[in-house]
Amino acid sequence: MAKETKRSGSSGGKQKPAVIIVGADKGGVGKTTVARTMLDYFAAKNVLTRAFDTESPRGTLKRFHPRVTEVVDLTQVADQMKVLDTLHTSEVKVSIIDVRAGLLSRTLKDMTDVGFFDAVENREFKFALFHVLGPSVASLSEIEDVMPFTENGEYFVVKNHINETNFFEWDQDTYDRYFKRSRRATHEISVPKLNEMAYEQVEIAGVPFVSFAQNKNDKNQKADYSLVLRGYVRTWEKAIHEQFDNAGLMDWATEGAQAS
Amino acid sequence: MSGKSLAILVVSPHERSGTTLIARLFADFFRIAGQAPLLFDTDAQRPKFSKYFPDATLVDLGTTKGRMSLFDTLPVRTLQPKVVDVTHRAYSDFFTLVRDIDLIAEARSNNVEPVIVYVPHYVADDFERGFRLRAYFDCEFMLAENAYLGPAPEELHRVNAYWALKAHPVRLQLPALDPMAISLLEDERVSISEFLLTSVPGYQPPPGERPPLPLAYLSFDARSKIRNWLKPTLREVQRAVHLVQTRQETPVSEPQPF
Repeated sequence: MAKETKRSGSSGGKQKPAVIIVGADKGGVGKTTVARTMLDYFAAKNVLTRAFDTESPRGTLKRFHPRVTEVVDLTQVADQMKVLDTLHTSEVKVSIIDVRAGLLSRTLKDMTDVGFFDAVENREFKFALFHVLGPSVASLSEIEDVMPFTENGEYFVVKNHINETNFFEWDQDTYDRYFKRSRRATHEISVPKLNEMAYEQVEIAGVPFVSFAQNKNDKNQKADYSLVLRGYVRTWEKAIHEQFDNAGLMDWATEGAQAS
Repeated sequence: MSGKSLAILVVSPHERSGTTLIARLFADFFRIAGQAPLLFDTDAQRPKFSKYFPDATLVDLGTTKGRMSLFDTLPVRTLQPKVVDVTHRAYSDFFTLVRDIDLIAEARSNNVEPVIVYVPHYVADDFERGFRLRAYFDCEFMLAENAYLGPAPEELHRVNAYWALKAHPVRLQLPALDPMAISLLEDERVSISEFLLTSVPGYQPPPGERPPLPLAYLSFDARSKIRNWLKPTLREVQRAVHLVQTRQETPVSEPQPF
């Protein structure tokens, strides 16, 4: 079980557990970056969150958020139990699963096999998929593959501009057609490009984006990061968090928490 | 008195406002006061300020490294004052970055007080911009009026922002200087502080040193004109700086007589 943050949370008995999967079938599209911004987002909102990093055994997400992250192998039954069997019992109601590159479709199928999506359909859990897209047309076909799994959940398309790529600009109609075909609402998150030097320095620091922006090291002590780079990170993450807000992520994840 | 220092940011949204001259006046005032200000020229395309001060840092705000060399230094705790000549080309980007990195708070936490020295042209838009700038950034603000730019036109008197800024307690008023003297002052070899110190009648350079170049070629009349403009102007700078230093409980810069 991943350790839980010490922040006061909006958890409670009537809040349904929320599972957020961040994934893509293509590598290098910035899944972990998105998961990291999401952990910062919920921490800023005082929502207790736990994370599972399926990049076993290395765990990039765990490197940046060690206190709330556990490395798991979701192809193993023991680890599937670790994640799914604890959803109801854990006080932490929001679980983020950062799925290793190339394993999204397989993970979703495995979760179907263990009855996860039946439970979602029965409203035992809430489920959201953050599908991080690459700029190629191959990513569009990924949408068709994964969308059926989100029938009873929420589907967020994430365009990560970390590489300053133009997404489908060459053929917006093709992109639109994929969504028209699905005849359902999707949320779109566009992750802006972060200054390369700032990104690199956060990597070196090995701390959450929010800690870097607050000039804190991994021991929560005052660090000596560049003010300019901290500013870039703060502005960048703020822009992403605003999009999470606009997409209703917070309301969705904590629905029922107020009643409790 | 605490160990605070000032970071003077001389800005104007327009070119030919006299920001470089004003930045020079601040830099030279601090030098005359025996301080060694840290100087920054942000015009990487057409550097001017750094031509007068070879020890000034030339900063390219179009690059991350350039931005870091300025904005990572400005809030550093030091007793030296800092003077930045902000080019009009970088005006918007400069303040966007100041906002995004929260420079004011960072500087304050290190006992550095930023002072925005705003040089408007006499157009409504400039006063409205200045008004918004003063309202947005919670730091010292100084309205610099350059008589060289001419009198305020009648229509400006109907602009609220104009009167709001005119009523601002910290103002710097530069007297007009005739064009010939301006062209002499613009000579990159002319150092204001050296000029003032060495143009005193009877000045003798220290043993073994040659007198600075400027005096060697300026006519007596030109020297007199410049001196007659510089003295009241530097007193005006001194008055404005002292006002800010008193408001900020910062040690007051005491220049040598000039």
